[in-house]
Amino acid sequence: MPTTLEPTRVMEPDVDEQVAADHPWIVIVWNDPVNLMSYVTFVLQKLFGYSNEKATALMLDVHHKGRAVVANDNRERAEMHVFRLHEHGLWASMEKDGPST
Amino acid sequence: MSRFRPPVRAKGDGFVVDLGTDESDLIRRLIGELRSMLTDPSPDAAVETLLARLFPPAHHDDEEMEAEYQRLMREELVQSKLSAFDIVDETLAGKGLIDEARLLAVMQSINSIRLVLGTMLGVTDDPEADEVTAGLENSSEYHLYSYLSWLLEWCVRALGAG
Repeated sequence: MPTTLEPTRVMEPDVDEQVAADHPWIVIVWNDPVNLMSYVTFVLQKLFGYSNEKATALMLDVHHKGRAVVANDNRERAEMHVFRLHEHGLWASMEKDGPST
Repeated sequence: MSRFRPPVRAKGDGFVVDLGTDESDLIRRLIGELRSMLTDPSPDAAVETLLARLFPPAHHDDEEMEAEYQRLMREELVQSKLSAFDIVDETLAGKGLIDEARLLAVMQSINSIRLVLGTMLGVTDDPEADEVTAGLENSSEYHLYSYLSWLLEWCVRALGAG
C-alpha cells in the first residue's frame, strides 16, 4: 500500500477527443459529373447552415479532390445527413472517423 | 418586344414557377416516367442501373451496415421522391405563389430527372467528351439535359435570393 503523499495521476480527456468521441462518424460528399456546383453549394448551406464561403470551399474540395468531409456526428445523425443529401441527389456516404481523416 | 421572365423567381413572400405549356407538359411527362420507374415492383436491369444513381450506398465498406441502412431508409427515400413529384404536378398545374418547401421539392425533382438522364447519357466531367459522345441519337436527350440544368440554376438563384 503506497505511503507517499504523491497525488494519483488523473487522466483528463482532451476536449477535442471528447467531441470526437461523441461524433465518431464523418459524412462525405463525393464528386459526380451531373450535380451543378451552384446546386451543391446551395445544398450544403441549406442542410448544414454553412456560410456561402464555407459551403463553396467544401464544394470546391469535392470538385477538385474528388470528395470532402462535410460533417461529423454520431451514427444516427450522420445517417440522417446522408439521407437528406441523397434526397437532394448528392452522392454521399458515411464512415467511422479515424486518425487518417 | 417581350421582356425575359425568369422561369423561377422569388415574388413577394413566395416563389413563382413560370414555364411555358410545352415545358410544363414535358416535365410532367418525365416525372410520370420516373414515378413509374420508382414504383415498378420488378424493374429490369436497365432501369435498376438508372435508378442506382438516385440511391447511392451510405456505407461503402460495410455490407452489413449498408443492408441495415437500406432496409430502414430506402423506402423512405422513394416516398420522399414520390411526394416531391406530386408537388411538381400540383405546382405546374397551378399559377400561384408557392412556398420555399414546395420549390425545394420542385428543385429536387428536376435534379432527379437530370441524374437519371445524365446516367443515360454517360455524362462525364470532361466537357470535350460530352460534345463528342453525345452523338446525334442522343442529341434530344442532351438538349433536354441542358434545359433542365438551366432550370435548376434558376431554382438555386431564386432560393438564394428568397
